[in-house]
Amino acid sequence: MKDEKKTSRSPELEGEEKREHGKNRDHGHDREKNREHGRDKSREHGWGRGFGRRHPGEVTGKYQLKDPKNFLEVQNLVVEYSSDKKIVQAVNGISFSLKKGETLGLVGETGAGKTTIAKAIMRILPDPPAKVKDGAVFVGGRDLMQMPEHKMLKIRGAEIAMIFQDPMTALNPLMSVGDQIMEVVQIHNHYTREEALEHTCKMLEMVGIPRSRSVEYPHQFSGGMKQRVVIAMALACNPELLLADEPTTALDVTIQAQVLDMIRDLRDRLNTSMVLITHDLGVVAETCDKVVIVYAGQAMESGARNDIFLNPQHPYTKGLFGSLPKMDDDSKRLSPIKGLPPDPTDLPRGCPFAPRCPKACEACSQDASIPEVEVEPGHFVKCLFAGKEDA
Amino acid sequence: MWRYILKRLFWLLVIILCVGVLIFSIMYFVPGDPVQILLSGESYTQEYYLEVKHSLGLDKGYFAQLGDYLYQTFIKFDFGTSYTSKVPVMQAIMERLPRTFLLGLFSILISAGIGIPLGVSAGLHRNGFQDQGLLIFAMIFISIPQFWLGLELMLLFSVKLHWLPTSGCATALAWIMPVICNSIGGIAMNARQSRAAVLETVRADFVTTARAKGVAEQKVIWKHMMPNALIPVINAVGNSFANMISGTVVIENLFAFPGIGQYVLNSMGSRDYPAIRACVLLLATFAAVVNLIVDLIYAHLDPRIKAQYIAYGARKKSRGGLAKS
Amino acid sequence: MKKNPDKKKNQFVMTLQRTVENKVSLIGLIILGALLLMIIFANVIAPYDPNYMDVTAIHGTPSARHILGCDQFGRDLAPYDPNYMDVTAIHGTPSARHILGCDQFGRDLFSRILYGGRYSLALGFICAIIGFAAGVIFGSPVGYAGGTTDMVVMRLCDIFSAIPGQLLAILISSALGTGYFYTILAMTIGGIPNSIRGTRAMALKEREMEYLEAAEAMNVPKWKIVYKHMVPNIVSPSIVGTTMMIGNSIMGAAGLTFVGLGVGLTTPEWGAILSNSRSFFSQYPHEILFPGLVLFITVLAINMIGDGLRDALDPKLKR
Repeated sequence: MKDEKKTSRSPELEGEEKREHGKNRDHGHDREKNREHGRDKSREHGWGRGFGRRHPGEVTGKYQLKDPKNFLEVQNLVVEYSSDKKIVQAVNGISFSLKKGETLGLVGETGAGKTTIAKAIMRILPDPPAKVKDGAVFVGGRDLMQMPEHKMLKIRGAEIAMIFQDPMTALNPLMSVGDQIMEVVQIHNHYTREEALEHTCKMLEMVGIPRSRSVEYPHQFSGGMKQRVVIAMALACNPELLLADEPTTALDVTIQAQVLDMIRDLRDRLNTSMVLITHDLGVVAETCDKVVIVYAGQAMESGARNDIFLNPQHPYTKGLFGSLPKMDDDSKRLSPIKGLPPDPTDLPRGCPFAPRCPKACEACSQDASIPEVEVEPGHFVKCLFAGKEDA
Repeated sequence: MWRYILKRLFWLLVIILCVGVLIFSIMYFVPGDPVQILLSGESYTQEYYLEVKHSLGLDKGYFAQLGDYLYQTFIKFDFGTSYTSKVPVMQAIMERLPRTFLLGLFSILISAGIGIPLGVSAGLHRNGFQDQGLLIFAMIFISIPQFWLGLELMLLFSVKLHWLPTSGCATALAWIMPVICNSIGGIAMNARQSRAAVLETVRADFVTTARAKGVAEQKVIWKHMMPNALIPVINAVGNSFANMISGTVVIENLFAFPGIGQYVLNSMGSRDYPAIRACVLLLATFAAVVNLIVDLIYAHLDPRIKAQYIAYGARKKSRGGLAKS
Repeated sequence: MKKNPDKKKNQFVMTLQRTVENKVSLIGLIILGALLLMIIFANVIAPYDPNYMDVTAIHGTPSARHILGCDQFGRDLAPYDPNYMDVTAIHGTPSARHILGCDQFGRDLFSRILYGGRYSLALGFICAIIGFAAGVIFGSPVGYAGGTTDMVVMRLCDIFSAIPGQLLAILISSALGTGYFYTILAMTIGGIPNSIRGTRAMALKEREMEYLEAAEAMNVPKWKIVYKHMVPNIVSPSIVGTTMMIGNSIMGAAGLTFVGLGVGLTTPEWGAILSNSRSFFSQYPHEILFPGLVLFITVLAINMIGDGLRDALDPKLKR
C-alpha cells in the first residue's frame, strides 16, 4: 500500500505495471483484429471516426459460453478509462450470469463501476476515453464484444434496452417525446408511420401517460413522467434484456415506489430479463432473483438473493447490511463501513476492500488477486476468509 | 407567443426612439461647428454665417431642434439633407448600404461556413490533430489585428503580386481582401464556439440514450447532437450580423471601400449631423430587427425557449433570462 | 462561514497553479512578461527617443550605426528619446543602429514601439478594469435586487447597446476628439452595458443559492450580502472575459487611431505608429510589419493567458 503511494506520482508507469500484472493476454493477436475493425469503421462512418466506441477493444475470442442456459453471461470484463495522465480502472474482471426471465441486482456504492458495466454490455461506452480491455459478454449465446457494429445496432434498443439514471438529461430536449419513442420503434420494426405512431401511443399509455401528450417536449414533463417516457422507450421494442441503471435514484421518494412497481409489473408481463443497478438493498430484496455485490469494479460476492441476504460472507457485504436500519434490532446505532472507496486510478493491490476491512491481514494486500470461493452452490465470495471461519 | 412578439415590437420602437434622442443629444453637445466646417475655405461675412446657420435650423435651442428632428424622422420619415453634399441623406445611404450589407453578408457566410464545420470536426475529434491545429489557428486568428492583416495582404497581393486591387469595390476582385479581413476573426470565434458546444453535447446523456436505441452513429451525430450543439451557435452568428455590418468602418477606411462605414466616418469629420443620425438610427434599427427575427427563429427551433416566451407574461422572474442578447 | 475565505483562497491558488501548468497560458505569460519588462524599462532598453528623428536614416534599413546604438545600451542607458529624430535615418530600414528601422522623420521604430507599448498596454488594462468594475459594481446589485430596478437598468443597457459597439466607439471618439483618455472612454462606454448584463446574469443565478438566504436570515445588510458574499463567487468567471477584454481594447483602440481618431498621431501608441506609417507601406513595409507584429503578439499572449484561465476555471472544457 505504501509503495503504491510513492509511485503514484507517475501514474502512467503505474498503469502499465498494473496492466502487466493483471491478467496475461495475447496482445499481438488482438491488435490485428483491432486494426481490421478500425478500418471497417472508418469506411462506415467517416465523420464519426472518433466515436469508434464500438471497437471491440483488445478483447480476444478466448472466452466460451459456460452454460448454454444462461441468457446473459459476463466473463472477466475489464474496462479502463484513460484521461490525460491517469488510467481509471473502472471495471476489473467482473463475471456474472443471468437466466431468461430472471432479475439480477448489481449492488454497490457510487463509483463502483456499475453503470460502466451496463454501458459496456451495450457497447455504448465513449471511446475514448473508455476501453473494454478484456472479457466477454454473451447474450443469447453470442459474444457481443466480438460483434461487428452494424449487427450491434440491431441489438441495441431491440434485444437489449437500457433505462438511464437521470431522466432529466436522458431525453433530447429538441424532440417531442413521441418522436423519440417512435425513433426506436421505426429503427427496429418495419412499421408505417401510422403503425409506429399507434405503437408509440400504446407504449405511452402502458406507462400511464395519455397519448395526447406524445407531441409534448421533455421540458413539459416532470421528473417521474420523464422516467416513464424513458421506460416506454426502453420497452418499446419488447427487449429480452433490460438494463435498469438506478432508475429511481433521481426521483422523489414518493415517485420511486411508483416507478419501481411499474418496472416490475412490465418486466413480469413481458417476461424480460433484467439487470437492476442500484445501491438500495431494499429494492434488491423486493425485486431481484440474484445479487452481485460490486466493489471497485469487482464482484465481491454473488449468488441467489436469499443466500446473500441470509448468509452474507464477505466483510463488505456484511458492512452493507450493517449500514441498514433493522426493524427487529434494538441496537441504537448503525455500523457504517469506515473509510472511503478506493481511488480507481490507484487501486490497492490484492483485495480492494482490504484498507477498510475489519478482518484484513497482510495476505489480503499481497500481489495476487483474491480467488473466488464457492461457499455454497452458486454463492461465490471473493475473500481469503470465505468459508474458513464463521463469524 | 403573439403577446411576446408584440411586446418585443413595442420595445423595439421605444428603443429606437431612445436611440434617436441619444444620438441627437450626442451630436448636439459635440464640440465643433458644422457651419464653420462647411464654410471653411471661403471667406464669409457674419451675416452669411448666420444665414447658413438659420437655413440649417441650427440657431434654435436644444429642445426645439430635438422636437423638429423627432417630428421629421419618426412622423414624416424624412431623414433630412446632407449639409455638405445637399443630397437627401437617404439617397446617399441607400447607395452605400447595399455594398456594406453585402460585405457583411459575405463575411458572415464565410466565417460561419468555414468556422462552424472546423469547430464541429475539432469537437468530434477531440485532442486529434484537427483539434490541436484548430485551437492554435483560432487563437492566432482571434488575435490578429484586422487592419494590419489588411495592410500586409495588400502588400503581398497588390504591391508585390499585382493580383488584387488595393481599393474600391468596382470589381469582384476588390472584394476579396475586405471580406477576408472582415471574416477572419469570425471564423475563429465560430470555430471555438461550435467546438465548445459540440464538446458539451458529445457527452450529453441524451446522446447515449440515442445510441442505446440502436441509432446509427451518423444519425446520432446529425439528428441528435448537431441540432442541440449548433442551434445556439447559429443564433449567435445571426445576432452578430448587425455588429458585423456596423463594424466594417476600419476595413472600409483601409480599402477605401465606399460603404456606410466610410460614410459615417467622413460625415463625422464634417459634422454632417443628418447623415450621422440617419446612419446610426438605421443601423440600430437593423440590429434590433435582426435580433428579434433571430430570437424568434431560435424560439421556433428550441421548444424550451419557446416555452419561456409563452410564459413571458405569466412569470416575471424569468424575464432576465429572456432579455439576454 | 469561517471556512469560506480559506477555501476561496485555495481555489484562487489552485486556479493560478492550473493556469501556470497549462502550456498555452504559460507561453502567453512568458511573452507578456517579457514584453512588459521591455516596455516598463523602455527608457533603459530603447536606444532612441520614439520621437527622435534620425535625418540620416530616414526610411533607412537597419545599419551598423544602429547596432552601435544597441551597444551603447550598457554605457548609456537611454541614449535616445522616443521623439528624437535621427535626421540621418529617415525611413531607415532595420539596421544595426536602428534594429527595426526608422520612420519618415527618422524616429527609431524600436524605441517608438517600446514607448508606445506603455500607452497601448495601459489602455488595455484600464479599459478592462473599468469594464470589470462597472459590471461588478452595478451588475451584481441589480441582479440581486431584481424587480423594477433590474428592469429599468436592463432597459437602459438595451438602449445603449442598441447602437452596435464599434459604431458607438467611433461616434464617441470622433465626438470627443483625439486624446488618450477620450479613447479610453470611447472603448469602455460601449462595453459597459454588456459587462453589466453579464454580471447581472451571474448574480441572478447566484441569487438562488442558499448561502445568500442564510446571510439574509442572519440580517446581514444588503450591500454586504452583495459585495461580501455574492461578488466573490461571481467574479472568477468574469475574469476570463476581462482578460480577453484587455486584448480587444488594445486592438480596438489601435483600430480607432488607425483611422485617424483615437489617441491621435502625437502619442506613439501602436495604432498611431501604424497609422503614421500607413501611407508609406508599399515603399517601406518594415514600418508596418514590426509595429503590427508586436501588436499581434501582445494580443495573442493576452488571449493565450485568458484561454489558460478559462481552462483552469472550467475543467469541464479541458481535455
